[in-house]
Amino acid sequence: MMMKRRKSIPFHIGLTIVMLLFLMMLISLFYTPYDPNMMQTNARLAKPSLEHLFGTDNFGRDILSRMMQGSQTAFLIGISSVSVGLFFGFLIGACAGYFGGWIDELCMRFIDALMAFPGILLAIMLITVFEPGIKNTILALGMMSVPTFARIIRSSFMQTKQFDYVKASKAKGAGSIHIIFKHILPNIVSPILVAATLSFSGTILAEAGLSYLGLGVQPPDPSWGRMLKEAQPYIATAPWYVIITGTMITLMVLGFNLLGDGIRDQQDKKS
Amino acid sequence: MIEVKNLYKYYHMPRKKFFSKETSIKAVNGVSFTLRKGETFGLVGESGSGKSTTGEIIVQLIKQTSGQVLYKGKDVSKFNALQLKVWRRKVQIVFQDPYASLNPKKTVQWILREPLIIHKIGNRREQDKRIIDMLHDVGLDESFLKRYPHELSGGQRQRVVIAAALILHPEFVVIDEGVSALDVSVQAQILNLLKALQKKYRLTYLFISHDLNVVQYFCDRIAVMYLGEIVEMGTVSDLDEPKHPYTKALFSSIPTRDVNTSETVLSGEVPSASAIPEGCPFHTRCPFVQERCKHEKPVKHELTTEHTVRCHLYD
Repeated sequence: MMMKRRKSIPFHIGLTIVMLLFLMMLISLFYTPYDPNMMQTNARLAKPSLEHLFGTDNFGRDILSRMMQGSQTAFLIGISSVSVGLFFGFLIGACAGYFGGWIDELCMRFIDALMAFPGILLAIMLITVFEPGIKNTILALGMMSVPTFARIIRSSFMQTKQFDYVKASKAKGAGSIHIIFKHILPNIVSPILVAATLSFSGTILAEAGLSYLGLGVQPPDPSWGRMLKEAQPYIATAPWYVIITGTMITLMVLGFNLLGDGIRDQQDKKS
Repeated sequence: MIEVKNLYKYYHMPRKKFFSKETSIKAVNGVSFTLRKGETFGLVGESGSGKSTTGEIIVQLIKQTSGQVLYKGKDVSKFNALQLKVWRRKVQIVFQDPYASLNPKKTVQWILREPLIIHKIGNRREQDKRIIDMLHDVGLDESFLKRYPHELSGGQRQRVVIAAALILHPEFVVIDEGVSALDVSVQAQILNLLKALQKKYRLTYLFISHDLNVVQYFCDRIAVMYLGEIVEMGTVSDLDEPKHPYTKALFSSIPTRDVNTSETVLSGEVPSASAIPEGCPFHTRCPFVQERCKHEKPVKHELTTEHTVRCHLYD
């Protein structure tokens, strides 16, 4: 049972991209080159230059600044909706996997019902019923990822609860809460971590999609998805706007996907 | 001290077709025996004979279908949560595979402290002392406290498992194939350790195994199980002259240095526990099968007060 600490190349690339984007987000909290919402009517759709590294948009706002500000939204929505999804997914998956029987049946049919709708449709429905905004976007995207988490956590629970150390702990008088949090959870962290990382990129993509449709983050808060939509009419006159925004989204998704795959590979190697 | 009375455990199988008859697996089929204080009682049988299920019912990891497990005259399956917790302090189980019985993410110290935390015994310093004492008892020392299971050998792991089971000072320990996964040399060490601990803590063992050599060496009394039933029970010396045809075959299969001993070889396979033959469950493989064996279930015959056998040959 020798553990090799060698990580794959995709893992390192993913980690680097994610760290760079995260760094950009951190910097934007304190400093952006311009005020992201400041309009300079004399410099609309300016080409990338030393003054405006990524150029300006149709209102003359600095794209780099908005991009940095937008990364806050992306991380905020990514982290919060993954947490929401993880919380409910864990609740449902853990109950189903640990107790089994009719509880399992009930939880899984509920998950089946959730899965019957395409995730993004479900999110659109939730947002139209309530109202667009960051909070509802987070909830809707969180709900979207609940089935994935619930299923992964359920199967990990079912697998782990059969081990003799769980049985032995039960024979020593341990209660369900003790067994779930001290014995099962520490042993299923890595599959959960992989699922969370992969779901993070899915969430960011979905948020971009929602914002593109005008259902996600509302103006004036910058969001990459909405920037892409705003850039669309100027695809011929100011192609850099679309290209830069699209590249940012792609990088974010790619980074988290590589990271998730890397963690999974490493986990496979160990077992 | 512990009396097992007419224990049955059936597992219902899902129906294959909606109208088909419901099948069930009869894992334990009317098992009765008594464990006396301080003895080592061996339960032997092939895999699938229901010996492990019997052990897990006694510690109440699974519930029986019917029958009783009596401790001082009280049925443990009717205990409420609080009584059950007290019962769990008195009885412990050691599993076969020392690689699966320890949580890979926890240190030895955590594993040994866990039972004390569950039962709220002592403060941290008292717990620490008890943990170290226990480690010494099983032949390990303080240097193991911070180690993880993957840093230990099989024998060391099994010592930790035993320490974790004994740290609550139980009266009674079920050892479910406790040494089967270990090398022969390590087996002997662990068996000697168990003997020493039995003396020190005045423990009663229920020793479940398929290894007849180990059982003969280690146990005071032996019960032989076949398809969920005890076919023969007696002291180790009683079973030197086995009476039941199954026991005879089983014991003649032990390799000896004497080349002249004849070995009774059984034909066929053990029938499935979901389709136990009518009459005597052993009649499909018995070399002395009679017509009545196929219809009539043999009753328990007491050859001596200790030695009982379930076979028509002794009617």
